[in-house]
Amino acid sequence: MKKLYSITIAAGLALALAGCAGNNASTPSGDRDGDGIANISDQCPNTVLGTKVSKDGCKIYPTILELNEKELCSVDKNGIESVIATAAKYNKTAKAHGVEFKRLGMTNTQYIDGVNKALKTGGKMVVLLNKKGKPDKKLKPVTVKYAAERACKFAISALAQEAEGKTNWRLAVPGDGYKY
Amino acid sequence: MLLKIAKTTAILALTACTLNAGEFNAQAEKDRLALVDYMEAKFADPLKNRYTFFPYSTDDELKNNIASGLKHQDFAIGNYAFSKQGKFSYDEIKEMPPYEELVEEGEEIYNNNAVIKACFPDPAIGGDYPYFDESKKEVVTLTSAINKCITDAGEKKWNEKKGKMAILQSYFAAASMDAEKKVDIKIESAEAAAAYERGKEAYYTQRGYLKLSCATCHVQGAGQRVRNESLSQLLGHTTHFPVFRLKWGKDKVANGLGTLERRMTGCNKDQGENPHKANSKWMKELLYFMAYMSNGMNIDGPDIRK
Amino acid sequence: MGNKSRIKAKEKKGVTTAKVMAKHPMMSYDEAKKKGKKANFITSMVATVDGETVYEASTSQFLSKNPFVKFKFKGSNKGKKLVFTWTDLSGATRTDKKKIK
Repeated sequence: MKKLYSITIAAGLALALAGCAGNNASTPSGDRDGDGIANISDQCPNTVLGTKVSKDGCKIYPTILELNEKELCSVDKNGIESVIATAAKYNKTAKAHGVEFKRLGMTNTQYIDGVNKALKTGGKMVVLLNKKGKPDKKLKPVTVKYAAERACKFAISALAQEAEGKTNWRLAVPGDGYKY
Repeated sequence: MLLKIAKTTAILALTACTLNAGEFNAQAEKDRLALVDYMEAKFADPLKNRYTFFPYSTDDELKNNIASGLKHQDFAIGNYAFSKQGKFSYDEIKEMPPYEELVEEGEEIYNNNAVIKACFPDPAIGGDYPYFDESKKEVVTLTSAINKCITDAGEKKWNEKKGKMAILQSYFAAASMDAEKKVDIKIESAEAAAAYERGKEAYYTQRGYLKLSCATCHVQGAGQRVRNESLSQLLGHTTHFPVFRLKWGKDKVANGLGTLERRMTGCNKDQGENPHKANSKWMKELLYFMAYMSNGMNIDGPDIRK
Repeated sequence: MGNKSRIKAKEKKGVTTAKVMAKHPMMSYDEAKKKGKKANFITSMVATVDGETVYEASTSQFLSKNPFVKFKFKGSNKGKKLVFTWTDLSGATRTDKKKIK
């Protein structure tokens, strides 16, 4: 009886010591499943090593990285309504993730709005706005086709970049992956 | 008897465990020291190590313009640390810097505002922000702390990027510099460490139309040029804020000062991304990470930059 | 704030080093034409101590906005006031004083 008791205590001791072996593996800022996401933020703490995971440590089903941007965003292939719809769909997510593109004063949302406006009124051009939201005096308006293709590419690229970045950002950190 | 010994050993082990687990900033320290090593290695001898660190620099630049032998504290003055031409102009302007009158104005704002004085009895607090609020489990930046202070008193919040906010902060920065304070950011819990990690990830993730991460320019790219601009280094980036940018102060001197939030949203735009909001969690955690990287360096704010 | 001249003057071993920044838009003729305003710039600057001139300069549109000047002069002047006056094209003038440290 006594022997069993002391064995249990010893076992408990061993576990306690193993559990608090400094700042690795099982501590909140450690990474037990080696997926690049700290334990405290990891929603899927038993991910198979080598799997690509998202911000919350769970496997990314590689949908965004598999998209064929060229195919999907081609107006000639899909028609302008389809392209702008694709753009709007993915840009919504991009915006929610905080990765929406902004180029030369125009956010992607503004590109999409510009295209939709032109489609409604039958216009052929989209006017580019400056950072104050007024028509840019230096940049010429672009064709609706160009704007739609750009909006679509921007939306998909933003998400694809985000997904790709998750797996390799640490490679640039001196002290956490960067070699020179 | 055996039971007693086992019991005490178990208790000792557990206490040792909790004491050891106080090292929540272990990874952060590792990152910070590695960054210092990297910067010192980079600028130790630019001409000799050109293929490792300066693949695109010309002979002329390496021989005549880029300084060598730089150490930790030298990096606080941005690209003037290594750009000899830039340093010359910088020293000239420092004779009579345009922000001096704004610091005086900041002192006036502080002395005449009882609400702010009550929230910040000691103005030499530049080195303590951002900090991790353990009760709310979130990062608090100086900007958000000032705004919280005045909104709690029923006033409208101030613009986070320039104007009164930057002017008041310039007084805090100058007071901190006079009191010889150093950057002293703390990470004292697992949640704080996680916030730091998220800020670090934000810093090193490529973003925007131009697919640039902050590090592309300010870690790997530090010392190199983008057209005619020498890229400054992450080390020492936050020691001198709010910063007076000649570009911002071109038309009206009072607009020349800008907070950390003002500069970072500008960088977001330069990366081709719709900027994150100045008071977003993303921004605060990014600044938490950036400030930690300059731990141990002297506060030398406010300062002049191009 | 307004347009007070910012003056710094320090004496060391019998030589006073003074730095002054005058606040003035210094609008040249070309710039004025472009902006549709009237040209106006500082035409002379004078610094005195105890009524004696220690610095004098005739200036023109070649100086940029908020001109900064630095000058030295001999003599034991610690504690005395450096008086700095500028005059511009329109005839306006401004005088500011600062104690020499």
